[in-house]
Amino acid sequence: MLKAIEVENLFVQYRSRSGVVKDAVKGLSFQVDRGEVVAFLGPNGAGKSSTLKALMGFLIPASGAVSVFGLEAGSIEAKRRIGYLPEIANYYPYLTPTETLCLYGNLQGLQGQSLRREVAELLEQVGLASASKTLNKNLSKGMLQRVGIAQALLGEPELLILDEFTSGLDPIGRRQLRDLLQKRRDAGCTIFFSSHELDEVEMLCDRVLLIRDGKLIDENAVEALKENLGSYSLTYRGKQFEAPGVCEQLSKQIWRHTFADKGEFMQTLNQTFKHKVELLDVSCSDGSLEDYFVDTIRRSA
Amino acid sequence: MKFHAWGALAGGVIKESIRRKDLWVIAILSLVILLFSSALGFFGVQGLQVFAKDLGLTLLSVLSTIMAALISTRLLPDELKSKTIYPLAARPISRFDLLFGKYLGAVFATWVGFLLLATTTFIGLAIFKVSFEPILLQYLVFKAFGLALLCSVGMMFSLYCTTNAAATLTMVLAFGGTILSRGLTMAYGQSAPALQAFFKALNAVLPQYGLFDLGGRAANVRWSPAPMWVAAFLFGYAVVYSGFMLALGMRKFGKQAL
Amino acid sequence: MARFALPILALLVFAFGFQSPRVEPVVSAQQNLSQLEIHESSASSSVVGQFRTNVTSWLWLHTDLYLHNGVEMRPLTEQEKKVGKGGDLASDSMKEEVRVTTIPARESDFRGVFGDVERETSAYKTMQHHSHNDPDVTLPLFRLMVLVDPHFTPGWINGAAMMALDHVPNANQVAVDFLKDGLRQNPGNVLLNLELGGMLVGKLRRFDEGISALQEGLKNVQPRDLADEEYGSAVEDGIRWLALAYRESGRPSEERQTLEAGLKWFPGDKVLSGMLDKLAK
Repeated sequence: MLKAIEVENLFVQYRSRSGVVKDAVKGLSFQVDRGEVVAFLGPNGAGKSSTLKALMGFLIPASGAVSVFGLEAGSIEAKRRIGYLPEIANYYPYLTPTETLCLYGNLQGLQGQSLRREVAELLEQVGLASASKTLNKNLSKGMLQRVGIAQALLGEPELLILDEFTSGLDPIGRRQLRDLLQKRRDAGCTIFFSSHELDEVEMLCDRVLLIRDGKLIDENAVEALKENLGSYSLTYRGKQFEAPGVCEQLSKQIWRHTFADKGEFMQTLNQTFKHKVELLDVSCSDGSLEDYFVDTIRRSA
Repeated sequence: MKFHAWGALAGGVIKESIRRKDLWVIAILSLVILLFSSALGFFGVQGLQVFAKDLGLTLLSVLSTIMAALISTRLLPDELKSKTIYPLAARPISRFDLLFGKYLGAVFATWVGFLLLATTTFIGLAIFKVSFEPILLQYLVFKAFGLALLCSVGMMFSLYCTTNAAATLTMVLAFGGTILSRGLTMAYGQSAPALQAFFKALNAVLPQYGLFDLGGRAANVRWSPAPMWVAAFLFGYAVVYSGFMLALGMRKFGKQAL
Repeated sequence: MARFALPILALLVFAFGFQSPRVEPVVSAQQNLSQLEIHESSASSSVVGQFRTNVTSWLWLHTDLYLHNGVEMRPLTEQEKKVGKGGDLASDSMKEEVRVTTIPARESDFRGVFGDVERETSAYKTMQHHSHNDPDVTLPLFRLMVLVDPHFTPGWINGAAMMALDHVPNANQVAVDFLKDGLRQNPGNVLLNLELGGMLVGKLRRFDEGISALQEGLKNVQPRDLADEEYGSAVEDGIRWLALAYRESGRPSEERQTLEAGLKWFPGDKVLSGMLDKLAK
């Protein structure tokens, strides 16, 4: 079955006016399955937006292959199946959200009553129904972002490519958008997005891709990450016994065992009863994506 | 589908132009022309029909030329600068569709402004009892062809240089083209064969915007309209030259990283 | 320390500057500001004055264009005069010079179809079909010209000449009134007085009025300005008209005086010497 996105050894270069060539993406390869929700993470300047632009055909890669549903990235056929939200939400200041969406809808090949209906529904879904006739120039940043989200969802695309989609949104807006995207995901839409909001990533994603300096440095399923990122420890007084994890002596006859694996932790907890030691403290914490992000980036550096 | 996309893009440009009050500036300029015409009448100088017509058509020509240069050179750089191009380019249309749609937008917006100016000019001329003659209609049609050609030149330049430089170059070609052409014809006879060949090449490449200006005839008396073959030639030339300019523009825009 | 060297040096130079003697103007021009027009003494008015001059010049050029019904013409270049222009030559009777259409004739235009189209869309006619418009088309322009700049003497003079050619019964009187308007705006103007005098004597045969205008004009003539071709020619004509007016009024001694004075300024003038000979006989 064709992948939704296939990127093979992608190189993206920018040439400054003085002729200096800068590599924004260096040999990036990854795939996204249909129906998957994948977050594209990385620090500022890692090459996320350049990769997304290459996926949209906004720039021509120096080398490598990029395809969407098996079609050449940037081709009309490929774009017909994509909804794209750019990083910076700027829309024609002298058009209203309704007119903006109608314009994009027309370019999408939609027209007439069905377009108008869809536009009205989308504006309702993104919470802009009341501002549908206000000029874009009079909308707040968050409202413009909602216009952007609505235009990306126009025409029920099979693949959503979203660049920093929560930018400028308030907590209510984020929740609305999350619900909206979850519905699209449930309907089988593939979602590929970049974000710095790791909570959103955690709640929405199946998988994360982590890049730094234009290279893929890690790739993980979110569920597996959550498990692996947990941190567990137990502290007891008595005679030290053999157990997995890291053991450290806190004071005379007081020991602490730390585990990354929940199973090992449970097993050692049972052993404390067998060895008749006095249990002083038990601590369990799920790891955060932020820790993973920071640790992985630091390690790769 | 393509016509639909082009129409949508052009419609967006016109709607924006009207709401951005660009055309209001034109309307105010028109009002100034009207006031000026009335002022001439106020000073009691009778028999100024030819002069008023000449002045009116000259102003109309200059203002519409400036308008075409400014509108056409601003469109795409503004889109790129404000990043509004992304949602557009993400639609299932080619870069050429995007360029051509914007070009049509520039042409229509210029034409709307030109018609607005022309209407006020002719009202102003009516004050001087200048009647609307067939040659004036031909003047408007030819000028509209010329403005479309100029928009393509402006759009092409805007893809290769900064907005200000593009607008300046477009205006220099529009206003200086005729003078250059005169200079070439004067110097041709006394030039060496190699230079003559260069003059011919230069003349073929330069936009012959001055040919679309029937003002010299329309302002004076007893001139008949230009024959049909001229109208057909000018229309064909505007189409071919604009196509050439847009193709040149596409050479850059087609590969340009957004 | 080195980084202080340059500022210190600059300060020294600045300080020594105060020691140098003050620069005094070599020539102290005494200007009587009351003699200047406001546009010559005020910056903002000067812009207006410049605009006024530009508008007047533009109108001046357009009178010529309207006379030729919009057909633009130009004098021959030096090169064209040398080799002889094969195209559309015209001896312009109004300008008394050989001119050529700005848009070249088909046979001397290398531009092919572009040239053909330009000849069809611009105001162009071959010189064989060329005709002048009635000069009255330019009259409003002259009126506008002097309205914009009342000190533009050529506007008054040429305007009056065109008015005299107009097809109205009192054309000469209209021209004379126009010149008198000009004199009210420019009292004592040599050229306007001479033109008015010439018209009164030559066209209306009102000798007394003509004589006083010519006398007023010649009184203010600056001999050093006679070197200017146009000015000199106007003064020469003025002297001839004045002598003629005296003859027609039966005042031979004043005629003789005028002719002798005129010959001092224009010793080679055959008309003046001829008139003097005739008077002697």
